[in-house]
Amino acid sequence: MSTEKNYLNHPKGLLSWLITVDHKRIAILYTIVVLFFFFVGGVYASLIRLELAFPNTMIDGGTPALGGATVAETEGMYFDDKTYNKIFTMHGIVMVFLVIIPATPAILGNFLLPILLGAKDVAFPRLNLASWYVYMLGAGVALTSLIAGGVDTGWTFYTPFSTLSKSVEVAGIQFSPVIAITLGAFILGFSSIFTGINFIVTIHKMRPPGMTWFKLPLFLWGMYATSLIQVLATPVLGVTLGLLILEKVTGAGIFDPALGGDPILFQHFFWFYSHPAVYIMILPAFAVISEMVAVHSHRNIFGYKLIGFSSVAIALLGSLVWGHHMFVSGQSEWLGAIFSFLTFFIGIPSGIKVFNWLATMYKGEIKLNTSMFYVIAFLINFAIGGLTGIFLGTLVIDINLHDTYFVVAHFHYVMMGSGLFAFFGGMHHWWPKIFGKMYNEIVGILGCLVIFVGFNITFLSQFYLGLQGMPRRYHDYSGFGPEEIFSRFHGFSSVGTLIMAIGFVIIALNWLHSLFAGKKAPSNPWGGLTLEWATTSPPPTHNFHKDPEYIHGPYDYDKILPENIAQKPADKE
Amino acid sequence: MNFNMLLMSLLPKQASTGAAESDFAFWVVFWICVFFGLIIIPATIYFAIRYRKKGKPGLTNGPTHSTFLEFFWTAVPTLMIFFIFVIGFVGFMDFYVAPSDAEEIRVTGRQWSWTFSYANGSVEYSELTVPIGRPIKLVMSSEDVIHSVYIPVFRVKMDTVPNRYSSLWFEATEIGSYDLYCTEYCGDAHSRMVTKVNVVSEEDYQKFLKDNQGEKSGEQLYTLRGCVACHSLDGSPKIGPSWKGIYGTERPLANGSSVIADDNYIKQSIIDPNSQVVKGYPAAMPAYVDMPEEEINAIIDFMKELK
Repeated sequence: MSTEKNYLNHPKGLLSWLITVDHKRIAILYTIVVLFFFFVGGVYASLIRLELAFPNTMIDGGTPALGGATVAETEGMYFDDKTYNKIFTMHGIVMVFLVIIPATPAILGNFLLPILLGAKDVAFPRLNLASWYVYMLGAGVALTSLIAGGVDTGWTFYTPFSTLSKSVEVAGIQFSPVIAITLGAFILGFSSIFTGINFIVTIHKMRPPGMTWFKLPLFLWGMYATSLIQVLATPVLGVTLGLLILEKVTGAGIFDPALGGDPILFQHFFWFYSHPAVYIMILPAFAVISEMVAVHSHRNIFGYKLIGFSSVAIALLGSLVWGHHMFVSGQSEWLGAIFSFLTFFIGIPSGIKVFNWLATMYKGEIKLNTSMFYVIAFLINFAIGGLTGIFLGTLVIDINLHDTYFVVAHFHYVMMGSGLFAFFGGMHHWWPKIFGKMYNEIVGILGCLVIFVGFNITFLSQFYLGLQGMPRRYHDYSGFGPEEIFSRFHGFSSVGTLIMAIGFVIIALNWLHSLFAGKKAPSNPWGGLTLEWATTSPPPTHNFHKDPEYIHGPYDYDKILPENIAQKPADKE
Repeated sequence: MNFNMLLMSLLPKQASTGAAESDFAFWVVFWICVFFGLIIIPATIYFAIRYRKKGKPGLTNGPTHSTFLEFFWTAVPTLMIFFIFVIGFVGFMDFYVAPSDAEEIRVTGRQWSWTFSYANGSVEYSELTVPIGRPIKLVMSSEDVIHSVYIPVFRVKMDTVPNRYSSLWFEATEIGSYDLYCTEYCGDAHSRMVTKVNVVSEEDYQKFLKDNQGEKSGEQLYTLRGCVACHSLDGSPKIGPSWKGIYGTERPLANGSSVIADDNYIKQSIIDPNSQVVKGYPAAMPAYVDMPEEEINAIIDFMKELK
């Protein structure tokens, strides 16, 4: 309808999108593939819950045979053992490497970072586009493993199980699915590093005059902390996966004890990256929530400095706690004690943030719209996810709960209940800015509530399963343990997943409706004071029609009315 | 069911001295978390309703910082985590330092079964049988990939790592038969690597040791050596072919040729299993290179009987 030129409609043509260096268009490219992979990962999750919804039928009335193994009938199961193991492996790999790690930084970060700085683009626009192509290449290489029958190592690739996996002959070529998928993850790491470098340099060098570090929108503090980890920790994953490939190809004894290697060394290397990676997933969520809570409460954020510093503190501390994944791995007890001690310190900055967000809501003018519902859902989920982490950080309790469903529930509360809820909240918050269209608030709120209810049914059940001793990564739970409890609560968990799936369909329909029939979005639909709300929706190719004046802080809701955003007092009527 | 029983049912029953210590730490953390959860979650909902405002926003004047409050909610959690750490650490040390008079039982994990060997290896069994009322130390290792021993009613867990010994200890307090799970993902039949811990009286324990000494029959070896994880006895295919009625029959191989399942073939299939894989099955069997001659013979005899 509108003939106004903006970044979406000008220039035109598929090629103009594929060679674009515009950070906003690259964000859209990422949106398309990340949402596609979220769908794929969600299908895998649904298959897991489908298989676990009912206990399997057993021969001989389900008596466990002597020696621990039970004779399972394939009838009554949807998948055999190996297929099930491949499904949960792919669920983990797709969700971690292809969805949650890139989601918020590569989509919302890419779109917003330059605009929040009043800049035209990131510092290295071509590197930014390269990161998307590297991501596509990595995803492609990783997915070739499916041609060779898939991978059943779990997303953690623990040795020696992963190094012992066999090659498969495809079209006459010996093909190792484990090598394919580790190579894919290796390549994806570079995409992550490119984005991180770009953000760090952009925040350092492209701030407008007057925007000192303590006047940065908190979104940028979160992105900065995330980027630090991406740049510093990702190379370690690259080295680890590189060594794994080297061992598989040449038989060098690095991790495989049969060759003189050390399997625990792999776990140290792996978690040295993969624990900080948890913060690559959660710090962007903190960044998004900080913006949303301030805008929709119309309140100057409470304790700005402490929120900013706590992001950096989490980034640093998060690099020192990897060993808490290994309390029962056979590492020395003293290492376990030190890692437990350091792990608890992460709780402090995380707690500070939660209390500061709550204090920001206090005495605000809160709009209970879709974005605010996501903020509330996030705060509840993150409270549960964070507090259950205390159980797992406590050494003697972790001995009991390690590798049970308690752990599964805990990290889903953090990575999905917090990380992805914040991402989806952020998508709703900035949707009008990105696409220039409004969506239906009622349907938006409904979608949020449905996934919130579904999510909590799914994973609260799993806390209980874990406390009852249900081990994770089990294809079959019949013939042992408190069978009735296992089957009832696995059933609840699967019902929750179904509800969640319905919620995501509601969200998708609402978005599609908005894209094709949504009302045109005003520049500043929520009354925000950060610079993205000072330009049109969607923004023009160079972000601003004229350079915005940086004359007030990002959260000066006590001094500036939204209609006077980024205007000099003299400009006012 | 009253509230107290409901709470207690969160955790499985306690059947060792350590379980009580582990649960003490659990309940301390549990109530601390309930306390904080009951501040954060209701406050979130209350603020969202209390400060809700429709219409155009005006200027707001809430506090932007409070040194006292921010110090308060930094300091209180800091003190709290020291407290929780100490509880967790003390329990952890108690769990890992076995009493010097603990009896050692060796544990070997393999894909996908356990072997427990007692009294210097003269007794081997596929379930863990322990006496009540005295400390038992498990000294554990693995023949292939990493596994993990988990006994929920004892609240103990430890990985078994190839080429390395790890250990855990417990003192059982209640006679009964409990579950022992593998909790480190180890491949296809991971969820079937489940066995029992039988806590028995001292008398029954000594009887168990006596009864299980000496040579094993093929049927015992079938479970003890882990054949049971992949081979059924009733004709149904699992990861490997069933043993029922295969002795002496012609077996089609993956490479297109075929072979008679005689004594030589069975022996070959135990010590170098992937050299002659039957068509339609994966080359997934671990090689039992060191299996003694008597055991191989016993297994062959057992297979002959499976008509």
